[in-house]
Amino acid sequence: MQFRRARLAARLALAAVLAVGLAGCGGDDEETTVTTLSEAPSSAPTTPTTLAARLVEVVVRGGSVQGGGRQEVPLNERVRVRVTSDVEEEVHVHGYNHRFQVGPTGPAEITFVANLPGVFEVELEKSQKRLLSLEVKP
Amino acid sequence: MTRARRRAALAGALAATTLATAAPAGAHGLGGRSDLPLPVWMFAYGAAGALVVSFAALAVLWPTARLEGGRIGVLVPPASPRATDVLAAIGRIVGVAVFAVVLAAALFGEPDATANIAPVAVYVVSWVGMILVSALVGDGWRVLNPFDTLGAAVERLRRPTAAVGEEDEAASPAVDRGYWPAAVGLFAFVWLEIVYPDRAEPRMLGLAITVYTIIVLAAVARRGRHWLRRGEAFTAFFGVIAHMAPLYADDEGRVRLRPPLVGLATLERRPGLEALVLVGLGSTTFDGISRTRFWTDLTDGFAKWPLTVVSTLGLVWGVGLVAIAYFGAMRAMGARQDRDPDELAGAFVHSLVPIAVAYAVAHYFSLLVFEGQTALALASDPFGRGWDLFGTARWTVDYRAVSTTTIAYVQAAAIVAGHVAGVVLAHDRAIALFGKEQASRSQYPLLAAMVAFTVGGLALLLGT
Repeated sequence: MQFRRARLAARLALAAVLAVGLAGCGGDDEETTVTTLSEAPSSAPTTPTTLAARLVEVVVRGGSVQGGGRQEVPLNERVRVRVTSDVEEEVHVHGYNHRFQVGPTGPAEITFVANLPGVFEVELEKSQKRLLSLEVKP
Repeated sequence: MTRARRRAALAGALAATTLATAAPAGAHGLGGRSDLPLPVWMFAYGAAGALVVSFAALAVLWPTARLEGGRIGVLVPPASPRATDVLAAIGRIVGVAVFAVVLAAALFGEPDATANIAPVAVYVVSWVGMILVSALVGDGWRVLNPFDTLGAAVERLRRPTAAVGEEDEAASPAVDRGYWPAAVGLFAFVWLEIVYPDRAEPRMLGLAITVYTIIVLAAVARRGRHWLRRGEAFTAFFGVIAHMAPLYADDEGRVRLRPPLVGLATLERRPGLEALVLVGLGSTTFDGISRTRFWTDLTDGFAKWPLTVVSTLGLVWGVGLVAIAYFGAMRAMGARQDRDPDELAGAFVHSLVPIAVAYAVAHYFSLLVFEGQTALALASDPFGRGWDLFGTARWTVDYRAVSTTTIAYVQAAAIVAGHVAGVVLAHDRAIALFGKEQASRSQYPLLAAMVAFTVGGLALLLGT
């Protein structure tokens, strides 16, 4: 009984290993997407770029978020996320993995090319509050 | 017996207090990216296709039960017994080793959820990955099952002289709770996965794994290792799903190849089976609901704990919704055919399994594709120590590995295929139970429920 179970298990194991191996092939791409972005995540507020960029603005006051919601951005368009907050926080653009600090001293913003399709949350990292969702559509 | 129970209760209380007091770490949900809404035309074609297939099935499908008893299939050519023994041992060692690494990483590794392998290993690889392997290949969990290996060790410690394994069935108490413990365990897991805000926090996850393992091993000590098959959430759930897989083990333990899906007709009806399948289906339903704009707008301003409460209610609601649809259909079918609805619920629940798998594929396919890459990267550095064991440590997620169009096709195709499979299985069972004259008529209620699941499932993807 034990013996038979073991044999069955072994054969299933083979199949499982094959399946996992196949699934793994998809991720073998060495190319990273984050590094292809020209803008490094910067903590200092950047000056408005001369290139046209879609502006998305959010204000956090007294723990509540104004603006935000769901923002549609065409793929490969430049997007400018500007956050005004009355508390010290870190803004995190998920997926693109941009982080920048914001505080009561004034609005902070980041400009980047929306070159990944999908829906990405922009979140206040400490309080886990959602600021907006970027819907990047091809 | 009481000692094991007391221990389990203690562990549960410990877990509850720790979860309740866990500091809000900088952890957030897994996955930086969600799917785009399904294109409307794809929704329309998918829903229309499901409807057409459903009614065509009643008219066109075979008039005699064909799937009852499953298919024996063909033997997979055996390797030498010695080689398979070695492979089985390797499977077990790999299972326990990965379990140990994940647990150690969760408890002692890098506290940042994105740099620790535990969250992605549990929620993405072991959960979503294993659902797919179970459905498409075979019962992979049975090969790796660390709980079974640890359970064997526990049995050996308790009864060093007895031959382990053979007397399990006889030693078990008369009370058969069937799949109920697994259904409860699965609910706890999906709550952690979908509702609990710090789901990805490694320390919390480590504690949850520890507590769960203690409870499982206490149950094994009392009831024997065979309890795992229906009592342990993952062994039971993956085992049920694996009934639809082409590879399976026959009564003599030989591996056979059969057509996909047919094995579900042999799924043994035990108490709690409906609950287990409906928790699986309902949790994905709520996961879908929670990703819709409707839900995110509703809960946007909520603080952490009110959100947890609302999401818990939402999860109960999601499971309740599919349960009401299913049991309502069974009641209607029972009234038409003058049968006991409970008996029918046990007889038709196998037809929900492909639908549950389809929902899981539709909701988690992109997570597996993208966060699976994170898992490969973290495998090189599971503890966040700057290691690079397999040379993958510096990989980052390529969000363009699969296009958004492909993802949408996979989602819509999975849901429609799951629907077709469910309709076919239900049709065959109806013929076996009611005969061909009554079969079509008897199916209207269940068919209505399935169409609701399918159109509803597609509609949820539309609203994300």
